[in-house]
Amino acid sequence: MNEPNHIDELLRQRLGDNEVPPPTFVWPNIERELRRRRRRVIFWWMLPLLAGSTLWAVWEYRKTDQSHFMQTAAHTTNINAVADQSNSSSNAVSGSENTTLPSTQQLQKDQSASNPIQQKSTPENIHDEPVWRVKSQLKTTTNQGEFTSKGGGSAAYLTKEETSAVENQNLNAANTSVVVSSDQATMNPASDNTALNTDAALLNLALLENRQYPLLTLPIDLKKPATYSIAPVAPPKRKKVAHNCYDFHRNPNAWLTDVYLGPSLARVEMVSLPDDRPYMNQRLSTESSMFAATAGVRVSRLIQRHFLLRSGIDYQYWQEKFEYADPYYVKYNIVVTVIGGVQHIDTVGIDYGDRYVRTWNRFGLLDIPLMLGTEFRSGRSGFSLNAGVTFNVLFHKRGAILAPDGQVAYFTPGKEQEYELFVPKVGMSASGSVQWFYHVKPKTRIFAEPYIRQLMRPVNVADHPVRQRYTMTGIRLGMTRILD
Amino acid sequence: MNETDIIMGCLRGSSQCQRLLYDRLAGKMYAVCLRYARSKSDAADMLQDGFVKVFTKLDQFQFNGSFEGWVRRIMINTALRTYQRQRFDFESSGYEHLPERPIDPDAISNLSEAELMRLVTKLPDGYRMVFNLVAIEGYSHAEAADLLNIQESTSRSQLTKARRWLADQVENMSKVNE
Repeated sequence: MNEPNHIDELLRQRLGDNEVPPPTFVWPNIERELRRRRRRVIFWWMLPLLAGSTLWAVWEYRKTDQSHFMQTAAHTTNINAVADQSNSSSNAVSGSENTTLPSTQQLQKDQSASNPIQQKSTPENIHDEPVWRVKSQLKTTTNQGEFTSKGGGSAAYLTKEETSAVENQNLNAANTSVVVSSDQATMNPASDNTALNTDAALLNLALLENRQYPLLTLPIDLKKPATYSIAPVAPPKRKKVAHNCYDFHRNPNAWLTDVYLGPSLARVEMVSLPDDRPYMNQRLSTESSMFAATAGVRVSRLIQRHFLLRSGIDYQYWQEKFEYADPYYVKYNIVVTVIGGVQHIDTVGIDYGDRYVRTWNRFGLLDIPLMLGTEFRSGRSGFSLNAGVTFNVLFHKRGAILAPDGQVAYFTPGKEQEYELFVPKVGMSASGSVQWFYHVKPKTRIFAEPYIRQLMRPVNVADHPVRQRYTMTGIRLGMTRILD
Repeated sequence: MNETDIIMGCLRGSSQCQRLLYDRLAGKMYAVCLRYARSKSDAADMLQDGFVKVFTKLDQFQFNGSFEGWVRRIMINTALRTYQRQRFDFESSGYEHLPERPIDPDAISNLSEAELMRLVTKLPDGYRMVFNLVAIEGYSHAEAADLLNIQESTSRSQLTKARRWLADQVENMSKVNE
C-alpha cells in the first residue's frame, strides 16, 4: 500500500481540484469529431439497406421476367398443330418421321383464337403445366466488419465502511476478470484491443477511499466471502506496423489502383417453355463452353481503413463451340449427259452424309463495375469482401447457332442474313468476390480474387423461344498499387 | 439545468447540452491532462480525445456516484494510453543516492498552482506518471504498476525519485523567490 507522504498531501490539496482554462480550439475539434462519428453510423446503416435493396431488385426482376415470358408465349399459336403439318411434309423427303420443329415465324403467322396453353389444360393433360428449369440464384452479400462492445458488472456506490472492508482485502492475483465497455473498439474498429482491462482496472479501482467515484463491482461468487481481486492488466499493445505494410493508421483514406486478369468459366442457363424444350435440348447439345477469361483495371477508395468503394473497367471474354451435323441431309450425286441433244440424268450415288458445321462463338462484355467492400488486414496480408453491380457498355458477339427452324444461323453483326439472337447490351449484372492480398512492398500488393457474376437479364431477344442467361465465375489475379 | 438534466440532454444528442457539460468540466479535466502531458499541446489532444469518449460512451454512465469522477477516469485512461503508445522509459535522474528529506510546507504554500503544475509537468515521464497516479490520484503501487506495465518495485522507486526531484525543485524555487 502507498504510505502517505506529506508532499503528496500538499500537492494533492493544491492540484487535485485545480482548474485551468483549456485552449479555445478544443471544443470545435470535439464537435467536428462527434459529427463525423454520427455520419459514420448512418453509413453503416446504409450498407445492409443497399444490399437488401439489390437482392430484392434482382428477385423481383427475375420473377417479373419469367411471368412476362409465360404470358407472351401463351398468345402464340397452337404449336402442336403446326408441328404436325411440318412433320408430315418432311416425311416425304426422308422416308422416316421427322421431328423438325416449325420456325418461329411460321408459328406467329398462324391464327388462333384460343390460348394453346389453356387448350392443353384438359383433365387428361393437366400435368403438362409449364415447369421452368431455373438454376443458380446469385446472392450478393456485403460485409460490414464488426463492432463489439461489452459491458459487465454493475455500478455501485460503496459506503465508507464497505470501502474500508475492501481496503483490507488481499489484492493479489485475481481469479476473476473484468470486462467493461470498450470505447476503443467502437472508436477504432480496426485497432488492436487496447486496454480493455486497463479501462476496467481504472474504473474498478474505485478509489477505495470513498472518493465519490463510481465503482464497478466485479462479478462475485456470492457463496464465497467477498474478496476483491483484480486481474493483472495487460498493457495496451501498440500495434506495430509490420515490415512492408502500408501504415493505414497514418493515412486511413487512400486511393488504390488494381490491374488484373485471370481465367474464368461462363456457365449458360437456358430456359424455355415445355413445347420449346426439344429445341432447347438441341441447342444445349450443339453448344459447349470453352475458354473464358477476364481482365480489367480498377480504382478503389479506401475509407477509414476498412471500407472500399470500387469502380473501373472490366472485360469478360468467353468462347463456346458450336458443332452441328445434320443427320437428315442427303446428297444426290448425279451425272448429266447430253446425247443427241437430249439430257440424260443419271443418279450415280446417294450420300446419307452429314452437313457439318463447326464454329467458335466468341463473346465479350465491356463493363463498368460499381462495388462496395470491406477490408481486413493482419500484418502483410489480408482479405476483402466485395459486392456490387456491373453496368454493361459493350456486348461483342460473333458465331452461329442452330435456329428454331433447324438451320444454322449466324449471329455475327454485319454478316449477310444476320440472325438476330442477342440483345445489343446485357444491362446490369450482380457480382461478388473475396480478395486475398499480400503486401510485397508497403504500397504494392498482389492479390487473388475469386468472383462470381450473374447477368440479371437474358442475353436473347424477346421473341427467341429460349432464354439464355450467363453466370461467370473465375479468379482475378493482379496487383494493387496504393497511391499516396 | 442541473447535472442530470444536462446529461440526459447529451444522451438525446443536444449540442447545447454537450457544450454546457464541456464548459462545466473542461477546466478541471484540462488541469488533469496537463499533469500527465509533456506539453500543453499534448494536454489539449488528451482533453479532446477524452471528451469525445465521454460523449460517445455517455450511455454507459449509470448515475451511480460522481459524474466528475467518471469523466476523470476517462481522462486519466486517455492520458496513459497516449503515452503507452509512445513508450517512454523510466529514467534515472541521478537522485537515487540522495536521501528523501522532508519539505517545508510553507515552501509549497508560497508557490502558485501554476508553478506547482509546471513543476509536475517538468517531471521526467516515468516519475510524472507514477507521481500522478499514486500521489495525487491515490492508486496503490500495485495498481499503478499494472496500469503502467512495470514492476511494483519500479513504481516505488520512481515515486521516491519524483519526491526527491520535486523537493529539490521546490527548495530551489523558494530560494529564488526569497
